[in-house]
Amino acid sequence: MRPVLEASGLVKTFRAGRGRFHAVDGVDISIARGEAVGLVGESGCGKSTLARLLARLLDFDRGELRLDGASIGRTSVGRFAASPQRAHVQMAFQDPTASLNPRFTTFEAIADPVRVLLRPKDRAALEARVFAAAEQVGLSRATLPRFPHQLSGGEKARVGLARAMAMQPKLLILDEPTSALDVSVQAIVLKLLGKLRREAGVALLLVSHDLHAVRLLCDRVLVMYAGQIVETGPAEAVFAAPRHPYTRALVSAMPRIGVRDEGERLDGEPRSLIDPDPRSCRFLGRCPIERAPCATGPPPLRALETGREARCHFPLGGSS
Amino acid sequence: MSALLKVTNLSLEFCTRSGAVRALDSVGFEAREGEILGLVGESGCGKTATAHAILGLLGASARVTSGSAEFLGRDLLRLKPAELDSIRGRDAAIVFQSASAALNPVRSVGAQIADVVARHTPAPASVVREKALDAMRAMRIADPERRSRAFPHELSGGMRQRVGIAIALACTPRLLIADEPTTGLDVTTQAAVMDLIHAMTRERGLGVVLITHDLALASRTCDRIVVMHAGQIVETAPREGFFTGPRHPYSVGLLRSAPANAASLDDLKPIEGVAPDLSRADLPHCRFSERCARRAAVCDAGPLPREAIGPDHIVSCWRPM
Repeated sequence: MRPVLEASGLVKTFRAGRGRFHAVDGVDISIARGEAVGLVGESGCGKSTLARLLARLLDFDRGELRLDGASIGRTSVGRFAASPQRAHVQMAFQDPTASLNPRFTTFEAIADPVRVLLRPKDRAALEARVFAAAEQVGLSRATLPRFPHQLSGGEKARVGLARAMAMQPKLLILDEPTSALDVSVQAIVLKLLGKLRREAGVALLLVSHDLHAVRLLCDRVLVMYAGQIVETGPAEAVFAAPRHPYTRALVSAMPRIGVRDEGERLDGEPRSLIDPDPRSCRFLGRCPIERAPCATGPPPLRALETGREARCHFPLGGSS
Repeated sequence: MSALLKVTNLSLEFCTRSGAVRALDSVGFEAREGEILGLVGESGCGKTATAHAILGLLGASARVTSGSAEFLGRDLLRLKPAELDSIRGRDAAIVFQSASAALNPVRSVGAQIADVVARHTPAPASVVREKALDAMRAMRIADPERRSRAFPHELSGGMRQRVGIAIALACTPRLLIADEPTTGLDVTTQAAVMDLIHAMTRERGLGVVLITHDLALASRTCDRIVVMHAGQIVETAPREGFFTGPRHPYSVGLLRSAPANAASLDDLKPIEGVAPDLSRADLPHCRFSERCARRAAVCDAGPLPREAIGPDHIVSCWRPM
């Protein structure tokens, strides 16, 4: 089946003094219809930049981006924002308190993008869309005339999702949807995302450093390090037996309930992404298993077994 | 292990335009030497208010209506501001949630650590400087001479949080209150920062109160757990007992709603309802009762019980699980 979103060779650099900062460096991604994909990695690895490139909120330098088979990379970000395709890829942001306009009621917050992108023919059509989206995310009618400060944390998170879902998107990109939320609200949002996917068939890209959220919600996971994808595979398999040494450190640092932890620790910081050395692996210097070839030839992202890839010259054993 | 800080019957109100907000209701717990005590609960449950009350950091609208906080033979709640100043930063220190907000943006981090040292142990500048570098070394900050000249914006989030902890520990306090010290940090950085705090409890006998909403983090670092809900302590238990046999319905609910604890999405059970508005005149004795599936007539009868159900394990519930 045709993927809903397909990116190849995406590159995004920023000016940094006399050099260029390589935030996203040659990323290929394909997301199938209705699939839930997790994008994980430490802060500064480029995952939020990549999410913004895929959502067409930021122009990329090189590469190709296809939405439902049609190339959308050539349309500038400004033009894309007003195009009908905008409705198909929606993004929901981190902190619902910060991303909602305090002067908009719930109804207005959901109605605003509907008016701009879908141009409903009359008030009844607008209301139908808003009511349907509110119901889909479990917001009661009583919350529609309320302002953000009159809503609970869980309700605000639902409003953010209702805004996106009112567009009936094919892909919903979520940047850290749970990290700003309270413990009890996190569970509500994760369950709601699972339900939206099941019932509305929307594909999800979950950008998060909460590995548990990714484990619960996603079929497949992409691990990003220093601007590149270093490992991909089915979420369960990757968390159970990582093949890239960075993934292993990440998974080992994942806090688990009831486990006193003496896991592996990652020291130091990633190599500078300002004009990085094209000959060496980006993980060099922090890697516990690095050897001579790692400094002289960058490892490619290689297929290991069905559905699994790792960017490493010496991938870890599959069953460790 | 002996008690370092003993909080008893602490109640606190905030005066607002819409009346008194009863933020803390008879809070009591003790922090011990060489131990990490986890204070857990949802936002607004009074974790930070408790910490700020103990160290006298509350704003003008707050009023402590009852209770005591005994630390090194003195009641911190009854000290004069000048007396508290000599304890804060020297014997008892706090690490704030956001190191980037807590640090001075226009002063080098080395100077900020030295400020605390100079304030409590006046000495020649070279000695103070050396102590500040030692504090950075204790936080495993590589190349402290160079890093000490850096400004906060030149450091990564994890490094800034280490500086925040270095400031707190520079005068080798007996008690450290760490308010969400790793929230917003990556899992890898979070683990490294918690390792450092843990090492200090073993090496120096430091007593730590760790405020967190992350149960998985509490589970891996804390020796004992105190659960708060709407300004009340509902359960106090050793780590093992808490994670294997929580007794308060709210504790059980928290564990069932934690993504780290769930095998699948269906396994995840959010806690119903929200905590009550603490400015209400008709707050029930048990502030969890309106969200509780086990509520019965007995729950409304009188003040919360404090029932010891095992060694160090106390539950404040009429109908524990």
